[in-house]
Amino acid sequence: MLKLMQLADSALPVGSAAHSFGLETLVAEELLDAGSLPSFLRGYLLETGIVEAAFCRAAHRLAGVGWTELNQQLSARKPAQESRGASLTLGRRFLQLFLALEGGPDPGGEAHYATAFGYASRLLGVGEELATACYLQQTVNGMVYACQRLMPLGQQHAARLLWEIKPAILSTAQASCAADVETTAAFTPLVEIASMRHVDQATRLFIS
Amino acid sequence: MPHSDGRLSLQFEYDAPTARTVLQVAEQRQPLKVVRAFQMQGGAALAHVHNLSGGILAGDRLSLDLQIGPGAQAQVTSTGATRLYRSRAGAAAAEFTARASVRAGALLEYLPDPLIPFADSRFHQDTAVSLEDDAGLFWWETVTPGREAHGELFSYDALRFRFDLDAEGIPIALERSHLDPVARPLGSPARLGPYRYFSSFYVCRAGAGESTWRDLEKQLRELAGTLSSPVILWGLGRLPAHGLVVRALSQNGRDIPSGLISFWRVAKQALYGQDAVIPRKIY
Repeated sequence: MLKLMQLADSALPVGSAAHSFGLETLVAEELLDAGSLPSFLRGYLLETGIVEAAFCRAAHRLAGVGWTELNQQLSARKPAQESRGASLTLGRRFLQLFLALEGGPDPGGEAHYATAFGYASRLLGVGEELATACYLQQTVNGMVYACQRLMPLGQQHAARLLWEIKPAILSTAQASCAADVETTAAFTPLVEIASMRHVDQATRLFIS
Repeated sequence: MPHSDGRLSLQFEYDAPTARTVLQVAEQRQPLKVVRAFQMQGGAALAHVHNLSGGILAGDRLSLDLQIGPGAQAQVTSTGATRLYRSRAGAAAAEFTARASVRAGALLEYLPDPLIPFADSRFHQDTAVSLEDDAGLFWWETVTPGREAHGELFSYDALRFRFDLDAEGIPIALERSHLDPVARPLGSPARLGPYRYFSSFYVCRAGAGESTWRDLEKQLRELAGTLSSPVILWGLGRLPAHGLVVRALSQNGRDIPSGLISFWRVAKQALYGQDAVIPRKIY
């Protein structure tokens, strides 16, 4: 459990703080602000969140079997190159760090953050439900921390937001139990376009 | 209400002696119909897919199968916007299944008019496209919020889209979208935000070199910047391999068709050294 908490901590040195996954563009183009952030995060969990959770669970269940195909599928689900690249970069770094700390077989090839987290959790002996909830929590934490740098969002406000969204995180994790990677749906065109347009932003704090 | 079980199966083959693509209709079952193919410059064949019932009715199960033989070039379009009619309570969702196989060295341009989902409509669309080596694809689709002139804005019951695109056996684009305006408000910034119309345009050529994609991406990205405004956003994504996807979100339906054609023209010239020929029909 303590190891899982460390893996899900934003201080884990894999570079997640350098990515906004399109949030920076949404804020710059005045499509997202502190007022709309809570509903955005809830919508994000219902869409992208459950897809990522399904892949995290699948990696946990498969334990490295069909690893290449699983990650190819997730890559094909991410049309924005920056967000796909960010997920792959973080996933590979996470996996390398985890294997250096804990040991275990490297499934090899590309690894997304969600699949790497599921795979590592399995090796730690953590159940998939808890692993998925932790993955979602660290994803939301990362988004809120990015927003603190992008918009007037104070620490107290951010802490309350993260506190109050936990039921949505848990319900997404639970819903993903019955979700399979083949059919689980997500409709987030504005976030995708924001990620696609991020490279054109005049000033950028984040890589994605 | 009786439903339609329409099916259209089209095979396009390259005829070497005439250097033309010819259409063979393997099967057509109403309400889907193709009257004839038109020859286009460069030897390509154009086919208009007619829906004789004027739209897709609740419970309809329609399927379109496109086989593009080695070296053939086909352009397929609709004769007008696809209207998705109202579903009665308890009626099955209308279904449309599209399958396309683009063989080695062939090209498919699938350029339908937008979907217009009427109030209370339920619709499932399932598309799968496979590309062999050096096969090309220009494939766009646009979804409107409904009949805005009738005051219908996201008044449909549910739309489901599934899109699978693979090249040389590897998935390069997978979309699974469930639009349920009541349970999942589309105005959320996680979904459409202030925009109402959305469109995707896939631009692929299996096996094209990295420098080709780099140059084309640069051109299309500049075009996206030029065409974007406060009422329409264009974005460009690089697929994991073999292609690009252009996305649009707009507050109105006027600017998307002309924008798609602009992207198509640049991409067709870059990938094939050919002009994009707009389908012959009334816009």
